[in-house]
Amino acid sequence: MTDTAAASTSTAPVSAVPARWNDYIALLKPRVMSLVVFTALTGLVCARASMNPTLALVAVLCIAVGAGASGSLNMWYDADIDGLMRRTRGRPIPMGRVQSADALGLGVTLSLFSVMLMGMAANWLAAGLLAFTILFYAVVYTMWLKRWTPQNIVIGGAAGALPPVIGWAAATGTMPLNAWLLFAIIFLWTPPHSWALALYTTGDYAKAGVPMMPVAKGAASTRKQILLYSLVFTPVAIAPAFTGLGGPLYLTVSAAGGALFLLLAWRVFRSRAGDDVNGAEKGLYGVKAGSKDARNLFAFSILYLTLLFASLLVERAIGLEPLDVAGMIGR
Amino acid sequence: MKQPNAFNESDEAAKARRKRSLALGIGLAVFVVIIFVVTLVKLQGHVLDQHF
Repeated sequence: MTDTAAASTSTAPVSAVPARWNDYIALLKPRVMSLVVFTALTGLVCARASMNPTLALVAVLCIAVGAGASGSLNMWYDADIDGLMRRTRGRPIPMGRVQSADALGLGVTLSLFSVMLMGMAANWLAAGLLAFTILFYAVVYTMWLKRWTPQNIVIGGAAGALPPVIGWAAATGTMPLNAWLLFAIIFLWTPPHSWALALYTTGDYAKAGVPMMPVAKGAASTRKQILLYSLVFTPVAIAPAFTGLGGPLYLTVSAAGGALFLLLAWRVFRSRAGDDVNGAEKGLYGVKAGSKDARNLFAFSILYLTLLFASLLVERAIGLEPLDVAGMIGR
Repeated sequence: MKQPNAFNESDEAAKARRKRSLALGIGLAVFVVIIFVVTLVKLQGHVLDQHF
């Protein structure tokens, strides 16, 4: 922990507001957990394995709890910079409602429980992947990359991209290429998504000394990289339709959404989003002049990823078979 | 502010602590039940796999 964090926690007075049970729930980042559960469930369902429903439910629960544990460890370590940013200063530790040591204890305990239970309920490959994901997010991303390099969310994005692979491994005990394709989709989606947000919250990150891309390399470079990553991301997002993973619904959604994603990324590239770093900020997610395009991309990126994974789930639910591209070529 | 209790904490803090303890207890109970159910499901699978 940094000196600032140590000072802020060791000398922090006992809060006038006692910790409530839901403060501990907040430490688990429930919104992140819900996205993790959604993508992990997609991986598990796409594996097309006959897994006992109870064990499948427990496996998804383990992934959710593991994600929550990562969130708690992240809030423990980042308490100092969380207190400096408007987006995060309302969190339980900066607000003084929860002691940072409690967040550490909760994170470690839940990590151990979730990994152990995953090993029992599913298999030890999935448990190992879950342990790796928690460690990668808490140690590699939070403690190292986040404060050190503007590539923090690029490399750190691997932690957020692993849940579908864990879900797949839980169902089958294997990690085939299609599982890693789901990983690649989230991994390549993360930079344009996170940097679009960073373009209009640059001041917050700069204040906290976090070297997000717009802070470290400037807005113009970030806009260019958003476009480049989008050019790579969209074909990869469509790829499952040709690898025996997605069907006609997936192909339609991924192609139409991908085209819109590229259009929005192009608009961000042509805009002045992020240039107005010193301009008057209009609330937490207030949009500075020229940043509307970045906000549009950020919002659509969430919708697009959700639709991609939802189409895979819907196809499985209604029994829509994946496209047989090899067969089509053969004919 | 009301009188502090035996733990030198306010009524509000004591109430919050009781709720936290209750949540922790429920969490642990749920964990035990999950372990029990997982064990049963695993055992059932292995028993059904036996060929006599």
